[in-house]
Amino acid sequence: MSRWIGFILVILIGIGLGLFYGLTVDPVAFVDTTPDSLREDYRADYVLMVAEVYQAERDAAAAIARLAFLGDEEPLVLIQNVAKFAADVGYTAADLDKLDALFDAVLAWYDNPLGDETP
Amino acid sequence: MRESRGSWYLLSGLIIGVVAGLVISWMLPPAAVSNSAPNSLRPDYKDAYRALVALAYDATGDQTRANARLALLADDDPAGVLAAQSQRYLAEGFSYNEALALARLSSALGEVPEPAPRTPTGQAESLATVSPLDGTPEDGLPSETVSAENAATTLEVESEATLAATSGPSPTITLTRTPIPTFTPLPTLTLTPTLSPPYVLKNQALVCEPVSQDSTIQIVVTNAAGEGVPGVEVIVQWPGGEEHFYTGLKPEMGLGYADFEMTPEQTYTLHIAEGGEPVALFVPECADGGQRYWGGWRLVFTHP
Repeated sequence: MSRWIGFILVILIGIGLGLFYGLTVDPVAFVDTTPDSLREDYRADYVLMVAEVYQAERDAAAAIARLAFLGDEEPLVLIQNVAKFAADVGYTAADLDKLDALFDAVLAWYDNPLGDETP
Repeated sequence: MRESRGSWYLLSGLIIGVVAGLVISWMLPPAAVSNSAPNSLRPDYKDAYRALVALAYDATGDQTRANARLALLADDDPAGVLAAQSQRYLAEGFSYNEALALARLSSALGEVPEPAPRTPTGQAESLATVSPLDGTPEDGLPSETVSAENAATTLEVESEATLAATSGPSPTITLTRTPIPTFTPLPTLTLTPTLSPPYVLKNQALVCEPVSQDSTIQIVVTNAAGEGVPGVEVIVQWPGGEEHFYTGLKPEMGLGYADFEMTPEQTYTLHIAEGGEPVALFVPECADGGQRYWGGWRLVFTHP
């Protein structure tokens, strides 16, 4: 009986070692992934790039189209989450300003997508 | 004897366990891929990512940041990949601005990057965009200034979040209580470098290269200062055919360079799409010490 217990015990230890090696030492490298699987800091950088381009182009519709690259998340929520993350990890004030400007532009676009003059 | 045999079953169990662990971690697909890096993206997504990097570079002129972003894609030859994508975008009718931005960034990669301009608070040096989750920029560049006031009131970023930056890993982070001035647009690059006046043919020279014997039209387009201009559309027409191509897609030859392969005994008319006089061309014949071969032309267009 004690042999079986020992046998099962070493199998469990072996599984643990195998998992440790397979998941941390030499993990599987995924290929052909989609943008919605990007790590949070890469997503934040992507949104910052959109904000940088928006700063030059002033095209909110194009910015929204680019944000759709990251998945189905609502653009305003996405920018808000990224801005929080950016503030947490110490993005510069200039970068935070760009995210702020992008948020304002997207919000304005949703309020008035055709760009009509407000009465 | 029995005790010696008894130790083998433990080793067998360990091996079985390790193999099972490896199978689970390597073979079984995860429920959802997460926390992936840009270099693992599908090729078409990589193209879109790369194009945005180029557009952001066009908008900010920050080559250090562009280099760091391109490094995330882990391309073997970033400049070559950018140039090829630019050419492909033009051929497939993608956005002209994106193609031009890709060509510009490809050209810039061949040059020594200029240091990012430092604002009084040193904001431009920060590269927080590639910082990992723990907040330490991967390239080691410090994030020097974080403004508490700039915690984006319209974005409702909580003050706690901003204050957390002060206790972050970068010891140089300081709080600035002075409100950040409202949005100051960066100088934008002119995406269409030359619209008028039309280019004029400054120089036309015969090119005789007995080694290559290429019947090529080499086109160089420069601005008034003599600097190469990328993204200028060139049109070559011949009886029954026409081809459009752009300068700057071979950045190793110069920003304003483009070329076109001619067929002997064919006549061509070349002109810059934005305007200018057409140039009639044919494949010239060169002679060198009794050896005769086809040559080419080198045309230099510039603003008057």
